[in-house]
Amino acid sequence: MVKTRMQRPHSPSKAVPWLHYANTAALIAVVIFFLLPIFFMILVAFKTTEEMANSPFSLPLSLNFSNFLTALQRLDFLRLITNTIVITIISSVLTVLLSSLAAYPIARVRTKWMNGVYQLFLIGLTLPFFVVLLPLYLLARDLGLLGTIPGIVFVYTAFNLPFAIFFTAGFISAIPIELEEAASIDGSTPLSTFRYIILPLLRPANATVAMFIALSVWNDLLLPLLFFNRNEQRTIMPGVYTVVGEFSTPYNELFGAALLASLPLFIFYLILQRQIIAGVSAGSVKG
Amino acid sequence: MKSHQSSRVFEMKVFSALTIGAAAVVVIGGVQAQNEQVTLRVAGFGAAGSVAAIKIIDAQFMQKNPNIKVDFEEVAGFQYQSILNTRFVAGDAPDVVMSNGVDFAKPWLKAGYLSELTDQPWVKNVINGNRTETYLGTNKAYQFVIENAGVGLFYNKQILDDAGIAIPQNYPQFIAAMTKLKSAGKTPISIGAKIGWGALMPVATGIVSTAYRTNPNYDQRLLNGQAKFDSPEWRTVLQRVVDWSKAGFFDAKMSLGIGDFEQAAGEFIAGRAAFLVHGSWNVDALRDSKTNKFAYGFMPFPGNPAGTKSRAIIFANANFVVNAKAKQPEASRKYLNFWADNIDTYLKETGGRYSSLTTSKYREVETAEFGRALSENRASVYPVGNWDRPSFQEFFMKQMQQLLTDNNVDSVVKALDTEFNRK
Amino acid sequence: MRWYVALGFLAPALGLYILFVLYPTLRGMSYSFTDFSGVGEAQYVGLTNYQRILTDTQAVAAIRNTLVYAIIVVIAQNILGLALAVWMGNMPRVRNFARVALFTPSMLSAVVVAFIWSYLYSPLGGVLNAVLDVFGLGILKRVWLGDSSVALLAIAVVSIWMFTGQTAAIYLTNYLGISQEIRESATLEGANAWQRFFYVEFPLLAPATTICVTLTLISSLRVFDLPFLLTKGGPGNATEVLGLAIFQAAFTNQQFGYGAALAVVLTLFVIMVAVLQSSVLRKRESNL
Repeated sequence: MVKTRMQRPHSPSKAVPWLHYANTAALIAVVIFFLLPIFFMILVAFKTTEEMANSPFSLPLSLNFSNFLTALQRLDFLRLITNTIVITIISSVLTVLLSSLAAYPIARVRTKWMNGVYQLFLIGLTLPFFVVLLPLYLLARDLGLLGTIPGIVFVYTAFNLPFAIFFTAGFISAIPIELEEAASIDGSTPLSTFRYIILPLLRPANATVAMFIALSVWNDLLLPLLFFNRNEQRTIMPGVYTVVGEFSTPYNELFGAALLASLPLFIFYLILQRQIIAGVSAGSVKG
Repeated sequence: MKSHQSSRVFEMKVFSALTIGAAAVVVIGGVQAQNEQVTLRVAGFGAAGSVAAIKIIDAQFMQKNPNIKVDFEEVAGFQYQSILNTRFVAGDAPDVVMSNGVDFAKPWLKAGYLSELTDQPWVKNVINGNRTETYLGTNKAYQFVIENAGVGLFYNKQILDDAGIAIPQNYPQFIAAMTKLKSAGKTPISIGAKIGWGALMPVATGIVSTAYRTNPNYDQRLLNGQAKFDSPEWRTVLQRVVDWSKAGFFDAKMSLGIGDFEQAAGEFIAGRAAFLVHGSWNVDALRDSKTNKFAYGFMPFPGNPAGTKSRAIIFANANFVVNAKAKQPEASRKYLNFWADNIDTYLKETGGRYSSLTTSKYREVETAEFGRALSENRASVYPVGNWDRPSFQEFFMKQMQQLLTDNNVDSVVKALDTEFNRK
Repeated sequence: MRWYVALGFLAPALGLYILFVLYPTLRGMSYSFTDFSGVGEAQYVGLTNYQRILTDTQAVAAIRNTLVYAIIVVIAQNILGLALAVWMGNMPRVRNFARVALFTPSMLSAVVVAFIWSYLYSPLGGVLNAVLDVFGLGILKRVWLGDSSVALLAIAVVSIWMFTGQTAAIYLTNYLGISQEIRESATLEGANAWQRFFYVEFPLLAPATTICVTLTLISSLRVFDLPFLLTKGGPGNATEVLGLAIFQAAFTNQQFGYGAALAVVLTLFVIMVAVLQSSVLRKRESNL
């Protein structure tokens, strides 16, 4: 393992301070440029319908909170957010756990059939979802999983496994094998080697995977509509998008609702981000 | 040992007492269930604005029928068909299901998922123009049409007055009005064709006020091959859009980047265009507008020759069908009857919609001209949605985009004929 | 590791995956040999649906556009993501802020993103054209989503905007893991910043490159929601992609069987491209 002291690549331009500041300023400028469309979204969320029609890009004349209030009134916001958090967290944790377990032999065992298993999982990255809807629904019905949280969690987990395994296996193969070999000489079982040696090193990979899964679960519209036939059982996004009609959509209301709905996800990301950074600066990733 | 045994006997006694008790509760519960609460499951797409109105009707219905609880499930519009199709196939669709035009319901009917409603009291009150949607092309009724949307011409009365233009009543007058507006430096008409719908509407409203005006069964003629797209009637209405573009009444190139719905309508609502050929639902936005208060009107598109009367397009924007496997078939029918009796309440809440029932008295002031056409039976169901070819509208919209790009009417009519007759 | 131990590790994931992904997929794909409309009964029709693809101009356009779109997105998003990652990697003080900020667009759902961008691209008071005017570049103004020569590119830009933050984050994780000693030794040997990047750092970024290229490639070949929300495939067939054609066939046009056949084609197509691409990238990785 290329284990080093704290790795902080420093800027080569540090020798010239003003160049470093200019560089920093330029990066900040690029980032702000990236964020402009989001500022626009926030502006719209504070506008009334005609203000939006008349001048979509101007600053709102006054801070109009009615779009947020409408969202809170129309939707059982607290309940939907709670559902979403429960489903998102269980799905992310289950996916991370199962994919880490599966990725371990995939990364370490170099046999033909293991490669076959890996390819089988990779096919899952390529499948178009619309064709699967109907058979999936019939299966869930026959297993009695419709309308249940385990049902939707299993499906989210199963569909996210290919990505998670792909990501995690790549990460494990970058970990030098010497530690495990030493552990196995010491009589450690494969499971405890995994638990005490591999899993701690996977923290940044797991956090990254969890983030990607949380994103897809949080923003998914299709499965909650399919699995739950009561509005109050569903997650937040299908609720938010009930205002989207075929012919006319009050986008200012939609944005207000969507902003509120995305806020917990953003916080979740900030928490996971700390995990990723902590894992990386601990210096456990080999290049 | 002994005490242990006796405790077991005691346990068994308690257990059997509980079992009998529970059984008794179940039996009594079963008898009572007939008078007790039933839950009626209803699914609908949450078209903006209408959900609030549906909830009002549902609340009134539950107040009148305290033993029925209506459980309204909202499914986002763009996923509606895939979700409901799936539920129907799996045999667990709700009792009452909302549907759109005839596209959703016809396949459901063919697959045997729908329950016949011919004997329901509201059926005899269906206005003629809505029979296609109610009967789905059969001789039995299957759909309750909640509301019709209309497609026609919005005009900004203020801009017309300022330019000294009278409201056009036929196509020559309409062209004269646009010419005058153009030379007065106004934007005559707002068209958005990013998906092509906004360019298709002038054509659809045009053909209705020409070919369908002289022959209300024109749909039939197209379907049995007596009429085709490569014909003077279609060439005329398609050529109009090309003429407008050439005369600079709208910018065809630019319209391809303008959203067909909110954006194109938004230009009119903001008072920046004199005309808009669009759906009656925009009345909601115009009514709720606080800053843009200008007098406006909504009328059938004047695509008719001088000396004739224009014709309106309506289409059933939202309907209810009853699941053949409904768990509550009686309550479902009761629910639709309640809707029929209270349809005016719903129309008042939503605005810009028209009833399908002759018993309705509700009319918006601004849309009175359009309403008059309906009551005088000068209306056709939206033709493109009425040809039993679910993919044809998509194709037609793309052909309209092609037309805006190359102005070639000839290739469009030929492509339409080929697609129409493809099996 | 013994085979039964390995199987023990694999079993939970494999079981769930076979039951909830592979089995329904195969069942869904079997509809491609039928005339299933989406509801009701299905009749076996052999390969009719597959034969139809060859004569369907919309499907052929969709296949071409999907490829073009994927090439644009994969190249642009990876170059941009990599550049931002290296830049952030060398800016410890603003690194975390930048990473979070760049990631934010991917947290929005496509419906919101599509609306924002349709206003930015709008020919009526749209921001992009206004900005071009300000910089005296009025000649570049376009009807971005309505001009068939640029519409697909315009959609690709939205996707790149949305997901470059994710790509950059993955590259950055890898970049920060490169040991300082390796960098320093390169610098000692007299390499300048560019040489150090191309000869030392970039090869060491192979794992992230494999992940990012594979993921962007697969997701851009499967693209559906942005074209669906922004253009519905128009103008004409200029932005028609396979994901969209499948949805339209299966649901809008009520030809589920044909939609399933398109889906099978898309899947085979993606598998083929992915295998090709990964064998190239893996070779590079094993050369480390």
